[in-house]
Amino acid sequence: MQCSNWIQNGLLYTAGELSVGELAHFKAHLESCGSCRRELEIYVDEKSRFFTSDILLDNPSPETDRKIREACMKIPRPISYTAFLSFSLRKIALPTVFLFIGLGVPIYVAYNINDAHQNAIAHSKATKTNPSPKTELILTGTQPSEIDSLQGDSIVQGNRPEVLKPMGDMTKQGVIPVDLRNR
Amino acid sequence: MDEQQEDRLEDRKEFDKWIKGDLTGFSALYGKYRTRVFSFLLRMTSDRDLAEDLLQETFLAALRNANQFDRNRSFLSWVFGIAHKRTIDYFRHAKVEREHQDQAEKSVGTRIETQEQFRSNNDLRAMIKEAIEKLDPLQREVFLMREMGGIAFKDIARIMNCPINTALGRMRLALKNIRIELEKRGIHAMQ
Repeated sequence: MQCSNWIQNGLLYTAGELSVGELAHFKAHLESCGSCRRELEIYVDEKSRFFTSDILLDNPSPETDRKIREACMKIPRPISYTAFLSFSLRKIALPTVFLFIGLGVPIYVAYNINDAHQNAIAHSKATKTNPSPKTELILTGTQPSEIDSLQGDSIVQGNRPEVLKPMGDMTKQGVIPVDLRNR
Repeated sequence: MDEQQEDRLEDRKEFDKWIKGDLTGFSALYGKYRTRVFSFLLRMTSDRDLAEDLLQETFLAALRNANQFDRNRSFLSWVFGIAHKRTIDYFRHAKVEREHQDQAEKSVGTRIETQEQFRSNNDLRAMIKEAIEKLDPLQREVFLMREMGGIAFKDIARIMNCPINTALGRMRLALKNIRIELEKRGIHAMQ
């Protein structure tokens, strides 16, 4: 008849699976229990004489070994989630980003250069044909207070007020512009 | 760090090597454990050719399902789990075939004997193998996993889908029955 302690903990003790507390308890029990000591001795003896690798183990044939190794080499290795993420980042995401940067930046720059160039041409044409509205206002005798009030959206946005009368280039006619605000 | 933990770390390194594409990782793991897994399958099936087929299936399944490997477990216990499933599958499929085969053998009047049965009774190795083969399959499985694979009882319980006390009970019975078989042949422990 086996001791209940051996039934409960004996095999776990030999397998090294007892927790620290259980191990201490079982070791203390072994000191006092002859039955458990005897069971342990028998098992250790059987293990060393009968359950050894010489007795229990067999090798597969070399032919099987070769077949298995060959078959296993043919199986594609699994891709882990992190490896898959890194793979997609390397092979898809990064090239896409570089493609956008590579195409987007030159297109943006080319478009803006063209636009800026056209704006510059338009601006230079406009300044050649139309003198600045401010000068015209001065020349038509508009009061400074009126000028200030006209500097809102209407002039900036290019909508000429009705008081403006195009006079052409007055300097050619000997008129010298005077800044009335300093008077 | 004890030997078992070192072993587990080493296995994990080899496993990671293989996952990263280095085939020597798999080769090392196969070389290390093939004997134990093969012996387990051989004792479970008592058929060398079949055990070799199951060994191949086991390792191929391990490779195909490598993503399912829980790194907190030992590699060997995981492979033993696969071998256990393969053995059960085999017995399920073979059940019908065996019934037919038994009927055929009865009609012919002969039975194919395994190589082990021809061996001398004086051969300790053969006697122990015979004692193991006489065990109930569930007891034999626990015994082989523990003694051949060194699998922890908690892992055996997980593999066999039973409480740990059931696994321990089967192991105790296996040891008792082996002892009885050996005593019948005049071999006693503690001589």
